Amino acid sequence: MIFDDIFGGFVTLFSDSYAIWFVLLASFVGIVFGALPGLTAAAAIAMMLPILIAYNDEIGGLAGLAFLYVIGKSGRYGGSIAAILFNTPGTAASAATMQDGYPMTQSGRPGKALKTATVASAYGDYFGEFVLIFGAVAIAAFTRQFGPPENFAIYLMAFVVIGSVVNDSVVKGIISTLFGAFIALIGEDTITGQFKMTMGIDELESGMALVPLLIGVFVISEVIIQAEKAAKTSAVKYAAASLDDPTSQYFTWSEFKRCVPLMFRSSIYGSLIGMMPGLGSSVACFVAYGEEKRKAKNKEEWGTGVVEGIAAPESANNAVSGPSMIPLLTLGIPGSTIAAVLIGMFLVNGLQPGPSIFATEPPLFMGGQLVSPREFIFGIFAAGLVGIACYALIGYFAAPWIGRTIALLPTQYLYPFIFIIALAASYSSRASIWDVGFALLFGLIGYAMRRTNFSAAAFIIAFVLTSSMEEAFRQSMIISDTGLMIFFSFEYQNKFSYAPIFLIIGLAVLVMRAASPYLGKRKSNA
Amino acid sequence: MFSVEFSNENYKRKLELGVGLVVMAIGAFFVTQALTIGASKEIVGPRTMPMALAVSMILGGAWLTLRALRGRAGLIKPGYGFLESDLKRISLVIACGVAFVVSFWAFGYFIAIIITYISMLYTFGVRNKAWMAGGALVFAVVLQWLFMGVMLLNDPSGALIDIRQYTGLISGV
Repeated sequence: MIFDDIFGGFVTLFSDSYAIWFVLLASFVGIVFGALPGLTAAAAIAMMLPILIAYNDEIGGLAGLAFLYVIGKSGRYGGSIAAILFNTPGTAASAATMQDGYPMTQSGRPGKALKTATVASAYGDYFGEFVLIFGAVAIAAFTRQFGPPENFAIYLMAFVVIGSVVNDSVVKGIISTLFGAFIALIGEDTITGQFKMTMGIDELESGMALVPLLIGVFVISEVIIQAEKAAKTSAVKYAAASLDDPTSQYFTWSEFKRCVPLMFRSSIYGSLIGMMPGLGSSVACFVAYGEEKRKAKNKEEWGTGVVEGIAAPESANNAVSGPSMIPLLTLGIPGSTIAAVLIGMFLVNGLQPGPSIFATEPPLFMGGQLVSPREFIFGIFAAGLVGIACYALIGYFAAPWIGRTIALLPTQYLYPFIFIIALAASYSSRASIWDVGFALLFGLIGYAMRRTNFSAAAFIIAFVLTSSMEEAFRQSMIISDTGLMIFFSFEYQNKFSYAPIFLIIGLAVLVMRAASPYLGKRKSNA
Repeated sequence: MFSVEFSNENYKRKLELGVGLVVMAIGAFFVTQALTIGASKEIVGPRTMPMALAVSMILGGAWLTLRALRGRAGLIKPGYGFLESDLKRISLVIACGVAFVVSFWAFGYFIAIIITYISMLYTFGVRNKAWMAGGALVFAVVLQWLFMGVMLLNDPSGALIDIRQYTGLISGV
């Protein structure tokens, strides 16, 4: 059955020429944005989202969603190029890759390092993609029976889990979540139609748009940081040895065979971490690097430029990509910023993220043809599988060239260009100059959040989730005879409720995270 | 070594104290905003969740403040704090953004792009006038065509001047 679905997904994808082109384009764009230090796939998505939404009807829903989905994958991989060549992680996900990637570059083997990263990333990404395909379908069959109390409990659990694991400080993570949630509540009330907290600004009656927020916290805050550096020299110092020397630049077959067990284990770490909302690639890469170094026979060589030190973090950080979609597709909870943005694109196409996304009815009209939601979602999975192959091919053959080109880009021209595109994209989201002002405001807020260790990711995810959470809460209250006790009872409307279980999980994660510094201190004292 | 750690700790403590107070102030502002929502007859109305979030923010801010007052803010990690911040550069970037908003209102989209791009290049240290003017013009033409011509966005007239009869030649609208 599921193999038929996968085959059907490929048919859906390949019958849409726009989708194929957009997958190819996303593979390239994601690598470039990931490789640019400071810029991430989320920044690329923020700037391109208005264009994709505006053209959604013309290009068909699959092309836009496939573009966003693949850019998340290729962006994660692209970060390794900067980590290996410039000793600067293009994204937080490739921070661990620097440990062995850059020493390899210094020793004159940048080609081998880049090829190792490419192969390991593709391996991990395929592993994660299959976990997603088989896992999501199985879990969705179970979560489809949930009602409003369970949905509210899941949202609350997600808020607590994301807030408490997303960075070092549990309190700051939770505050970031609360802040995003409050901003999301501005605008028209979904149930009463009353306007809330608009401060007399007409533009806020329809709520705060996602695009200016994304652009503010991810793009403008980064431009401010780059303006502070304001170096007139090139964006990055390219200290790489010549890539023209073909000797010692290949990831050999024997090295690949040696790395397969390690990549397999690292992909498992990445997939498990990816399934948990809030934990992302940056955690996975360090867990895999640390674990594999601990197990390695040559652990004293790690950090001096060994292929295993690149293969482990790269396969783990890309294995996060697919499973991070599982909470979104089975519970409607985005596990990452990119998944949060995907919700917007799903809604534009008439799909509500959650277990019902795997239903076969009612059909959707897309790209001039009728497709079921299930066919559509498997079309996106197929786009992911094709996208991995595309970025792997581009990366394997062109990563040195992309790195070399990025090294030549001068920041004094690059970041003003990005700033203007960001402002133009903010305006284009609703053709409102207010949105440009909001993007600037959230740029400053995002900058302050980064400097004081608050989490932009938790802020965005909470912003996206809150209206659904409020709706589930108020629906629960309407059907409840016992008020708030509906969330703590194992039964409502004569059926079993999982709500208390989710609340207990959320509370347990919060307590464990809050207690972990004290437990760690006691352990080290002992 | 000790003095460096001590001063770091002291800086972080002060900053965390400020952060806690700012979070509490934002929470208090949110409470005032939540109070503007009309009360309803339902058990849980539109005011419930904003109020709960705002109060939680105040509590979170209070926690940070108390932690800082008790001297438990910890040491500074790389990238934390504003010690390396350049206020002049931050102000310039925001001023460029404000220039975009004001010039958009006064002169329309096309000229706003030109003014903002030139001012951003200046902010980033570019002094080559030919590049600044030429680059800004090319960039404005491309964005005018893409956003107004292809995406068909609203291109309002400037309050002071209206050049849409010319920019319309680019966007074809």
